[in-house]
Amino acid sequence: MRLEIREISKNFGPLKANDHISFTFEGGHIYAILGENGAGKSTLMKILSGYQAASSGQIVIDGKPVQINSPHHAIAHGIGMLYQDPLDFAPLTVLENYIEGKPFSFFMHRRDAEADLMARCKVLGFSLNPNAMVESLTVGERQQLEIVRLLSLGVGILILDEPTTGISAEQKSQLFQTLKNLAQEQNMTVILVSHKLADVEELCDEVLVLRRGKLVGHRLLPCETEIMVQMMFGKRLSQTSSQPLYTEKPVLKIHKLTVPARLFTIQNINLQVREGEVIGLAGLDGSGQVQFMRAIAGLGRPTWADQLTAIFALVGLWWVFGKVLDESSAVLNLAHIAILILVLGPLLKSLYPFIRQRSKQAEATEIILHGQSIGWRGYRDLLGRGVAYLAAGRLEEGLVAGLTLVDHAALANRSSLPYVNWLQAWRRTKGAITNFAIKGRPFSQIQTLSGGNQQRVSLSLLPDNLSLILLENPTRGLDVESAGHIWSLLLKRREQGTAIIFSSPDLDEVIDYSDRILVFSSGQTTLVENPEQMTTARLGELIGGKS
Amino acid sequence: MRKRYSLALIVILVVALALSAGFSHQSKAKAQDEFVFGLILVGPHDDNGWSEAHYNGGLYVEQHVEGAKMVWIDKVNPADSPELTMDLVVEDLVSQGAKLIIATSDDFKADITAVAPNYPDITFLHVSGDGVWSGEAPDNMGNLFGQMQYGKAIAGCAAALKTETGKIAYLGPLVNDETRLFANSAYLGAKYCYENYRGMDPATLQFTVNWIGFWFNIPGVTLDPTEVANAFFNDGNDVVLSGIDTTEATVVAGQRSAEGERVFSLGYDYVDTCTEAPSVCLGVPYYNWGPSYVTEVTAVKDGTWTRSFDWLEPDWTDINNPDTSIVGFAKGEALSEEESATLDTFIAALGAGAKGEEGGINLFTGPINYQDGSTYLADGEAATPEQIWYMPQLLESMIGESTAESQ
Amino acid sequence: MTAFRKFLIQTSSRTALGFFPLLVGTLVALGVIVLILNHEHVEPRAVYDLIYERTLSLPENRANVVDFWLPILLCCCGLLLTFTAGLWNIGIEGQITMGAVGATSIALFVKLPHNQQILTELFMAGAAGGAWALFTGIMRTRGGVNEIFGGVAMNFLASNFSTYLLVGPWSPPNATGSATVRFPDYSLLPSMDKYRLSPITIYITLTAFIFVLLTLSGSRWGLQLRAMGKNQKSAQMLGVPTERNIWLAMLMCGIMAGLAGGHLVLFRRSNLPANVSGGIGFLSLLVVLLASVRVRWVPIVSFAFALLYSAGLPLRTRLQLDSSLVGIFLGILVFCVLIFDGVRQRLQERIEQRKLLAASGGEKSPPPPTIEIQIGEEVSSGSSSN
Repeated sequence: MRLEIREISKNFGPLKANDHISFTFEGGHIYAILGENGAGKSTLMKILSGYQAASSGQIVIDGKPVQINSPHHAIAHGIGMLYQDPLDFAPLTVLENYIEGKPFSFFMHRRDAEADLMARCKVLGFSLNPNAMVESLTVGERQQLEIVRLLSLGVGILILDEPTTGISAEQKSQLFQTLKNLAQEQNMTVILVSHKLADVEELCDEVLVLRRGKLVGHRLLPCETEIMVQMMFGKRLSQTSSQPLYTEKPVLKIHKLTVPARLFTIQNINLQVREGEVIGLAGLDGSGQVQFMRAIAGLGRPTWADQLTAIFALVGLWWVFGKVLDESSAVLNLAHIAILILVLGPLLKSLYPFIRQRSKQAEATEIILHGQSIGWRGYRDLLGRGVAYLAAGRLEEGLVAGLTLVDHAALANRSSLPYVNWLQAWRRTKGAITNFAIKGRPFSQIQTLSGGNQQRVSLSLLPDNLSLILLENPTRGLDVESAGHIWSLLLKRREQGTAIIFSSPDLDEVIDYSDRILVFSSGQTTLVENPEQMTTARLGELIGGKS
Repeated sequence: MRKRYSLALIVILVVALALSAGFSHQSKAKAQDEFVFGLILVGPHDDNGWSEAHYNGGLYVEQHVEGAKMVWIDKVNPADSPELTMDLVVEDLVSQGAKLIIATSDDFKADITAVAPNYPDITFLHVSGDGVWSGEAPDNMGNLFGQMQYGKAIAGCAAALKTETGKIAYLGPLVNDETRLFANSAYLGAKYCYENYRGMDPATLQFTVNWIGFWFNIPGVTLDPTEVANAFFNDGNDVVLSGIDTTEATVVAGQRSAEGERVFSLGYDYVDTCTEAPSVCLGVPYYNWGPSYVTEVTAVKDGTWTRSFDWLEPDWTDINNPDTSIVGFAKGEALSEEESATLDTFIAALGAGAKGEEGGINLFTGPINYQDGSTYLADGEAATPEQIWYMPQLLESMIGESTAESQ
Repeated sequence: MTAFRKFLIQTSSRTALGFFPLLVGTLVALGVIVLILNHEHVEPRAVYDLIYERTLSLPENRANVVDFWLPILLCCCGLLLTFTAGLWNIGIEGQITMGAVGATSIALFVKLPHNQQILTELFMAGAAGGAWALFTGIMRTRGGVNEIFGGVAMNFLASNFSTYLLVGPWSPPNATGSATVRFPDYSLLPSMDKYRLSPITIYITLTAFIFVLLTLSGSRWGLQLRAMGKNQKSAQMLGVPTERNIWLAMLMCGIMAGLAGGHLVLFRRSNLPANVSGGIGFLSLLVVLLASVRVRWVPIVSFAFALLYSAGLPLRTRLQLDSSLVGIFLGILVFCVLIFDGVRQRLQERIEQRKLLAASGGEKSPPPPTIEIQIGEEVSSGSSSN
């Protein structure tokens, strides 16, 4: 399909998010729209997909001017949008999600729909289990589902917003292959919104660059990376170089750790981390990298105190309810039983992982930090011992939306005083804003900052003199410039002897910054000693299980 | 912002109060000869039972005493009005000008006894309490009650006349002196009629009592009266006497009768209880508070009131006379003419006995033993009112708990 | 942009918006209440009259309102702590009940010198309420039982326990099982000479309120609770001892609720009745909700509630309104104000979004570059509005 936009503008008050953008997207081509955060990419895409109305301008599809008032409208006109993080899912199965939103869906038999879904998946090379719950899928699988769904709705123009964030290299290459096929064989128009230059170079035919709401460049690919960067930022970026800084002194020893992950249970992980060393974790999304790091940090694994108390509570409740159950009328007992189930159900559920762990000879497991076993300690305890963890979801686990930067500084500052020294917290915040180049004011609420700045705040809040920092996907959703800055901050930490363990779906990032790489593949781990001799392709093979 | 907001709240409140203050200066002029009396009810005033009987008594006073005005509050119990205390209730009624306050529940005993001394100018009347006898009642508080043991005995007699299985059951509320008395007198009435009018051996009469735990059903706290009534009928009882404030016994009997069983019931408290299921209802012993209230109100109004426990007998010339009798018995449709006539004979004999006339019956005449075999009344001994009121146990050969310990 | 929107933005100083929910909510609620009263054939003016006359006109009546207000305020203070920490302490009813039971256990069966007697009673009240709450907290953190379910279960247990005591071991002879005997005088909280008010309860409530005010406005613990309330996982990652704080907050709330229960039996009732809490806990939950967990509003809102509730009795005896009607009125009021508070929030969010955009786009951007590549001097703008 042919999509033409004419003089599209979008104003938010005096801010021009889109400023008279005109372009024609031809069918059968793959376009990239590049731009740094805030350049107006998302606004343009929202206008095309019906989530926002343009202030002025015209959209023309196959020569006919159209009005797009809602996402429904957009799909009816053949424009489908695939979001960066399709997280908002009702508790539906894959098949139900597929059926939902189809016109006349209630006339459609489940069996027909399932056959239809499977057929489409086969054509595209996806393997989706129609009866799996959507929330159990990886980000990559959700994307696949969404693509199939959009195609089944007759979409001829497919817009993808940062599709490679959070998916594995293998899923990425499969996605790109699918997109290429769709463009070539079905004459689809594919528009990729991204700030990852590598992706763009690999996939796209043409590239558009937005800056400050305006279309500032249009190039046919291939073209030099440097030129694209210049178009995006208006300046050259230097690659952060990474010199190894590690000593031979071990910080962390892991012996026979078993981690249950979503896809596999990874048995017998052994690892020694040295002072100042950077360990990258590579693997398919959901292969256990995150669970591995969380187990080290004392998050999400049972500790002794937890479970002992639960057992006491269980026994106590059993006794109390037993008493009550003995001596009252039948109607009352129904109410008792209902409460019993409500209360004991979650309790038993919380006991389950404990029992499972016990049953798998967890005794052999040892996690040793500076010579001390930390296997049953919780995160707060470990934070005091110099282990810090930064999760991928910054506003979910890490920063508190609704609190200001100063509040955060005050919270993170350990002190035994009953009151808060606001002046000190304010000074620290000022210092952090300068040292970490945070774009924000001390009394800004944290959620008003951009992702990169939030990540910088998170880093600034970490205590000094840490032994170990664990990071999930530290540059998730950040543009090249922010990512580079985050890494320079992290690498500086090594000078104090801090070791770093991080996971990332971006194999280039893993190879660039790691001193060693731990590869997670189908329940096994492999340690790569010399990443400088690694290529993305070779690492991809390792992840895929080829040794 | 917060400051402004709370400021706004204060402003609004002040304005609202100022407005209301403006309205509040029209005080109601009271009629010179008006006499206000307060009525405190434990249940809803339209409960078809205990509380409605009192409420109707209050209305009767308004009709029959010139200038009498009733102020009342109902549902004064922890479940319906947990925020109320007796202090607040009495204070409110007094502030409306009440000179006489009638507290109409056994439940109020402790609280009203404690509050009454704070209002020496007000007269208190506690219905269904024994404060005057026990010496707990202050000078300005009297007791009033009807001699319902006669009503219960008549009910027991009606049950004995009707039963074919020889098994009668009594659906009791909670256990205390008053309720034990009623169960016992029902038993005595049943035993007398079974022996004398039906010519059966009283030893073959089985009389079972089961207490649910309160005056009415509180789910989760009391036994369910519907279940208890059903259990009675399942056990072969064919007549159930209700001792509780609500009508479950009659309702259950009606249902089972509709399914073809030969079962009957007797109500309690309120004159119209039988309307729930007329075909199975043998009758209802009820209270008629109006006349006695008129007496008390008039006494207080005229300044002739003295402290006493007025435990009033029915008017034996016609126990169902609404202007004279405090206790009555309304016969139900299920009573045959012959049984009805026998019952009238019994009532007349009871009346004669109460007046000490020749040929009358005094059911509380020895020999009577308690449930545990100890002597209640020796042979030929007639009970004093105190002996009748305070009975620590059920009587010999009755089945059921004498005290609440098992609960 | 319509003129109305312009007006909204210009006058969107938060003050104007702050008025909105309370004003509109109260007005709508009043409208509904007047409708109901008309249906009941009661003149609204008579109701106004009566409420004023019976609650605020005379010192004794005012004392009654205050006596009703104090335990509610005490419960609200506790709830402020738990609500700030994101804990929905529905179990407060049970905590009040247990506090009352704890106080009764001393009042009925122990005799000490007066001061020690009162102290022991209050200690037991606080301890019993606190233990009840702490148990819910432990179930939450250790057992993974949400405090709402845990609280409901504990409420149920508490009310069953007190009923058991009332019909069983603590039942006075020949009684109906609806209350214990009246406590002896030496067990009761002393009253003021002129008015029926307990100075001890006033001191306790005042202390609790000041404590909560200080805690939530300036203390480290208050900040930690605030962070936990907004995002417990993040707070934990920032090094906040979340578990300990949950226990502490629940414990504090339980102690305050227990003391409120103690006041009910040791002062207002002079005995332990069935259903002793009588919905005070739920009332306090409503107050805190209505005050949007803001400390300074709580006394005012709770006073208004206490006032309306004490007006229930005269409304019943003089206008023969049904006993449940006052509760319904309060419900309508809360409902309306909360609805309009939701509307306000949405409006405010929108307006702030607009302001933010306006601010970030406020400075003049450099002349737009042409389609040709520019190797510019400009880095990026700091806008994150995308």
